Amino acid sequence: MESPIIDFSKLKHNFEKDLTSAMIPTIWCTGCSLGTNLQAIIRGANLAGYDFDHEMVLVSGIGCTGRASGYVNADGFHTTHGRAIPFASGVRIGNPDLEVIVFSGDGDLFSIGGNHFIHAARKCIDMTVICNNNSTYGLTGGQASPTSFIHTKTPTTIGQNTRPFDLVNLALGAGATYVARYTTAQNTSLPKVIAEAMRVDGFAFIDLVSGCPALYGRRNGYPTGEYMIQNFREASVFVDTSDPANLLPEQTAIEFDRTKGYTRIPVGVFRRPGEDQLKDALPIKGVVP
Amino acid sequence: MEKLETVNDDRLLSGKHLMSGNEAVAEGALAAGVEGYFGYPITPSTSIMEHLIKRISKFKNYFSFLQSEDEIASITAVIGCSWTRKKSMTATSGPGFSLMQEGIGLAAFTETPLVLINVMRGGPSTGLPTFPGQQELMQTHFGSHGDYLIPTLVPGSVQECFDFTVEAFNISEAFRTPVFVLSDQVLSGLKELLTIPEKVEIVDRAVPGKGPVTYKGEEISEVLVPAMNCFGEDKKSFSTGLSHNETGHVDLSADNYDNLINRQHQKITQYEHLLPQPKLQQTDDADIIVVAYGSTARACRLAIKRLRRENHKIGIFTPTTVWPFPEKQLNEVTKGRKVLVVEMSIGQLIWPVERYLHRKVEHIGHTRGQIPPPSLIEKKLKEMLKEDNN
Ligand SMILES: Cc1ncc(C[n+]2csc(CCOP(=O)(O)OP(=O)(O)O)c2C)c(N)n1
Ligand code: SF4
Ligand SMILES: [Mg+2]
Repeated sequence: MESPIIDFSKLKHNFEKDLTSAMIPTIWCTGCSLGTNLQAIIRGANLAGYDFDHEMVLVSGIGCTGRASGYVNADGFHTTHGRAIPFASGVRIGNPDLEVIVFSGDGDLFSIGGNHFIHAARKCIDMTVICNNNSTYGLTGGQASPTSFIHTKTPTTIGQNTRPFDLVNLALGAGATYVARYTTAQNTSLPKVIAEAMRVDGFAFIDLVSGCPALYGRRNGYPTGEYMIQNFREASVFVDTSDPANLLPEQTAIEFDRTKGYTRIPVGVFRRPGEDQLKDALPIKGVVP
Repeated sequence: MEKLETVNDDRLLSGKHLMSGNEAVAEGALAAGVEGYFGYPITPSTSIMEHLIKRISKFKNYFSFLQSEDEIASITAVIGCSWTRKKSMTATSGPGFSLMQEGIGLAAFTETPLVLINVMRGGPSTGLPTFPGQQELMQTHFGSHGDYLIPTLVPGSVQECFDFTVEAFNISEAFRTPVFVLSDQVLSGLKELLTIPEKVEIVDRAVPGKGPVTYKGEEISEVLVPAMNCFGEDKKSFSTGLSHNETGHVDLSADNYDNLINRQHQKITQYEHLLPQPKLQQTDDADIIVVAYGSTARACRLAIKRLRRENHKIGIFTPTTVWPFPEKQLNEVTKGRKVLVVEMSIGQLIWPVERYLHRKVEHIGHTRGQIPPPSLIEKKLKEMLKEDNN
């Protein structure tokens, strides 16, 4: 029997206006969190009232996530590995009227690009950074990343991995203006959170816990997207962030068990811009007399 | 497009000044209309950033500036800033230039106009931070991976530091390309008389649908140099460091890549004649032609002056654009003559010279962290003259 040939140019999708149709279908695997996450970003940007034609610039680095900038029908740039944030800084300082979003992977933002993240947060450069945190280097074949859990298997794991970053704690420590964590499972509330982050005047960060079922998932006992989303949903714990005790590193870290998968994912908005926050770190506006 | 120029205002300090090479670079950038600077301190380039800050902090208009966390961030932010249609630049020296290499490839491949000043010191590694070198000539051509050709200008005086920085911006805008200015530690601090003219002709990159750019009286092909859609403008603007088609989107097909790489190369080689041309001094009757650039050429000229007094016929060929290399001009001038290459490197300038002349030439590869002393050059030239008489 002949296998059916799909003519993608004849198919319609829900986001004809906001996606670059010529680039669809994406390179992403079935079950990957990236499709859902990108949809949440597009909905979030629309909610935030961003003008896709004249004001929004979507910047990404290299990785499966990195390809997102090419799929959205707004201005954008697909930079080198790890350099989405410095590129975004150049755009934001170059033209303060633009709204800059960085959407990139955990390896891109926190391994090769880690230095840029902490400094952009410290300098309070006005942008929204969303990390598609799938705890692995998806594009290069699922190697260990700075957020891979200790007892997971990857092609570069010998015995066990080195301990992961807690991205929420890292962003809080580096001085980010707005810090949140959600998972792909909260796909209905995500656009609202993303819109809130986008409206922040300063450095906003969302740790978006995501699944790479094709590689990291398959090797570690959760081989499908559905399984991962179910796991995220069950393990998500909404944190009362008005209680400072809940902002301690022990409370913000994700817990993971070799046999059960994610066991505790603290989610919520961990910091909103307050007077104290912005006092010494006014959003950069370039040099104005 | 209409003719553009900067006239005497707070940007253009028309008149005569005693200035260093680095200050002249900053003044040249201002004259050319720079609007964005991102940099990281490193000797001996830092005073470019410092002088610029001193000047822009008095400006009425917004200037995009950030001291970056490292040179990787600087070059990438310069690229980002340039995509908002702002003339943007950075300056660095050896170690910083090495860190910037990946970003340089991105700028070349995405055809991003920008100016990068590299003030050369002795290398490799941290090397000789406070002494000069000329060891990055090949790095400007081959430092980043992949095929690309970035116009590279080499000033030899404070005046040229100003003039070539203006020119670098104009070239970058006219051809949508990064441009390098290779200065050196001696020029960086050397104070000389600098004349800043009453007005300076400047070039702005093409705007889609507004017709081609004219550079030095010549209309630049819109096929070879496509107009740039920048962020926030009417047309969608996208690019990637992956191979891409004319919309800026990924296209890895062989035909597309082949066309892209070759067009990007051709847009520079086709207009080579518009780049700064080599300087020929006392070459007409010369038996020996010295080839040298930057501050080294100054020492060579002194040696030649002394030898001319003794009636020895020696001339000098000073490239002012090193990439693309002035192959034709060098061949014409050196035909049937002996050639001596002088440089502050164990051997970099000698590579293109021998390659393009298809013969072995004499060489002084001075590696003492200083300009080769004129006496040393004189001695070598005398030896070459003696061989002639044998
Ligand atoms: C300088 C450099 N080093 C290595 C690579 C190879 N590389 C491409 S993507 C990637 C990791 C991507 O991981 P992540 O950022 O988490 O993105 P994901 O694919 O998981 O979305 C690596 C190492 C590269 N492109 N550039
Ligand atoms: S490799 Fe993993 S991260 Fe990349 S598209 Fe496939 S599932 Fe998603
Ligand atoms: Mg990843």
